Amino acid sequence: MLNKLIGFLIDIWRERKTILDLAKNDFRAKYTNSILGIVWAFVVPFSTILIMWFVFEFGFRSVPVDDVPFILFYIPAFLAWNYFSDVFSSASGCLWEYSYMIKKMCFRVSVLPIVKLISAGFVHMFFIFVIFVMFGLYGYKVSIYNFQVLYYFLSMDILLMGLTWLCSALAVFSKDISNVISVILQVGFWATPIVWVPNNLPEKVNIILKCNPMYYICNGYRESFIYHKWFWENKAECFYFWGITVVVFVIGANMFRRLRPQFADVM
Amino acid sequence: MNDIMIDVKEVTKIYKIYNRTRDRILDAAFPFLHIKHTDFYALSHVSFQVHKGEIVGIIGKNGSGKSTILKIITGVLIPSGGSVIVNGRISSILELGTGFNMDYTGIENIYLNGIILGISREEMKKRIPQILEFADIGDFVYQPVKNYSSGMFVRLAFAVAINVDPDILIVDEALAVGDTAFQAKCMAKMEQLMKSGTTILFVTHDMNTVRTLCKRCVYLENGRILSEGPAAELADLYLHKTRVSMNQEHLEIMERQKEIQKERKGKNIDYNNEFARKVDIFREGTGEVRFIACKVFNENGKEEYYIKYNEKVTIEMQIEFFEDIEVGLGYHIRDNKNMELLGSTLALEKIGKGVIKGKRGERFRIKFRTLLPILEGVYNIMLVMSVPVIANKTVLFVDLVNNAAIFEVGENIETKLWNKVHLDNEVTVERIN
Repeated sequence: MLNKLIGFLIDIWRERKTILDLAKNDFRAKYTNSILGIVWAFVVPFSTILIMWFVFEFGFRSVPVDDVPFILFYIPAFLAWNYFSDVFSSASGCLWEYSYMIKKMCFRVSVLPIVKLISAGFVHMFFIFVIFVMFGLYGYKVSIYNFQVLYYFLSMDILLMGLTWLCSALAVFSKDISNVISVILQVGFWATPIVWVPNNLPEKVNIILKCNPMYYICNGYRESFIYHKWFWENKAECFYFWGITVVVFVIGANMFRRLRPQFADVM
Repeated sequence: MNDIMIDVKEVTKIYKIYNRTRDRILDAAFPFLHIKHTDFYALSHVSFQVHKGEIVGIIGKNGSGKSTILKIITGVLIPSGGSVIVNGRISSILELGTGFNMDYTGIENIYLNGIILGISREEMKKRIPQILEFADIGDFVYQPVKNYSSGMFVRLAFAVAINVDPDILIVDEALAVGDTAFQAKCMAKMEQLMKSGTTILFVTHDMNTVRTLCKRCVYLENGRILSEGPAAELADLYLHKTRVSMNQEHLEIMERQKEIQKERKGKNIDYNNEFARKVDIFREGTGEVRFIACKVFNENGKEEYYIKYNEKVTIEMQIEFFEDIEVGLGYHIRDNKNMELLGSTLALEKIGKGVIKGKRGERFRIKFRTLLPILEGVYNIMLVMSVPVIANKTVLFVDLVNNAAIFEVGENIETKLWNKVHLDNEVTVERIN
């Protein structure tokens, strides 16, 4: 089984050029049919940021957390989550989206979730830049810790790869999957420390919430920019995240590999 | 041999049919659970090879597995058993169109196809003029393909498929939706590709195309290979089977099936007759009337195998009635690829009402006198007697005999004939300036 898994991954690596071309194409296609085009990729998350900021800053009169303005506290985690939810939902349905290709052409279908990942990644890279700009505007200097965000970004990608292989393969057989995913994303948004502060919670609750691997990622984005902590400092959380991620990755890759022969039959 | 481009070995495709949707996921993910299902064999133990530069036709009725085997060779479907080895880049048009995204414009789809086939955007850009020239759909390429007519769709699909340097081109019935001009263009292009070494696999229901384009055929029936061999022979076999099933259907409609089916094969055939023995394997029909002889006479009235170019020959046939019935009658002259070139019928020549009315036991001799202004070569005569079921559309074959007589036409000594048939022309030459 291990051999097959490695073969599966090597095959994907060989397709890296195709993946990149498809991702560019996907990115271009997503926005060419609307009048404002690429602007939409940024308008939607920006509007969410503004609403949240307005609600928490003026509505709830949140006080600065750990001497950091709420908006700065909120943005890194929110953008990380936004990327996660974007990829998780779009990549899980991507086999249906590309069914016209799966039914008519021969190519490595397993690249499709990765294509979605990269296509959404272009926008996320821009948003990471936005985070830097926002902190700059508030007078924070760029520090070496900030660049750990790339580590968290890549870690999240590995987690997403496993998840989306699993879900996209299952979604071919059952339309229920997309509904399940939207429920998970709804719950996940509030179960992850995005708009609330983990330190305020009782220890027991916090431990339960830490089971969510996105806890590690969102917290990591925040630590890179605000708390200036190295990612190896939270050893337990780091091991837990990678444990979960490896398990999800192996299950996802294997399920995809097993279900793959039937895709064209079912579609 | 290393010029084998496609090697299909013992390929089987089973569609598993489950009672519940979730059973399919469970079975695929955990095969050791042995989830209950029924198997549907779309293909069983299909093997054949295709060599470099060949055009091979795949023929068969609907549902015989033609499209399935093409999809397996293309790699879209994965066989349940057996193996397919393909050497080289495949470009395919499966069913209607290739992998086109309905929301993309023609141009975007061209690039997308290029990516999948591993051709970079820059490289593809160079090919776009050629593709557009062949597709010839004007400014529609800048429109989303969902706005295309099916003809435009297949034009673009075919244009892309042939312009990506495929080693193997796979074409499903798709071309049938193109207009005649485009089909002719595609045929010419495929011949040209074949000459430059491209291997072509071709599915169609049009036997004339099969005869002209393919050398070899694979005939599928119910997911198995019924026969594999020269295209002309298999095309005839296919048409024969089609006529048999057409007759069958008509018989059912006419509720005459029972009495006739009992002694269908060989009914009213006198095996003492040399002609009947000779054509036995080439004949079919319900048999109320039978051909009992067919001869070709030269202009001197002598029965002859060698005919001169443009000689006036007499094609004579004799028929015998076994029931009181009216039948239409005609013949076709076919070339070595069994293309029907010339021919006539009583109706066409306005002989009486176009039918012969006979009583049981009566025999008739019918003579057609005609010129044969045709290219040198071997020709055969196909005789047909039929009863119209729907006027000018479909008929019930009473007796149909392939290869009833064979003759050879000599070369036109005066000038070389460059086309198959020549008819007299009135020619004027005048100076206009």
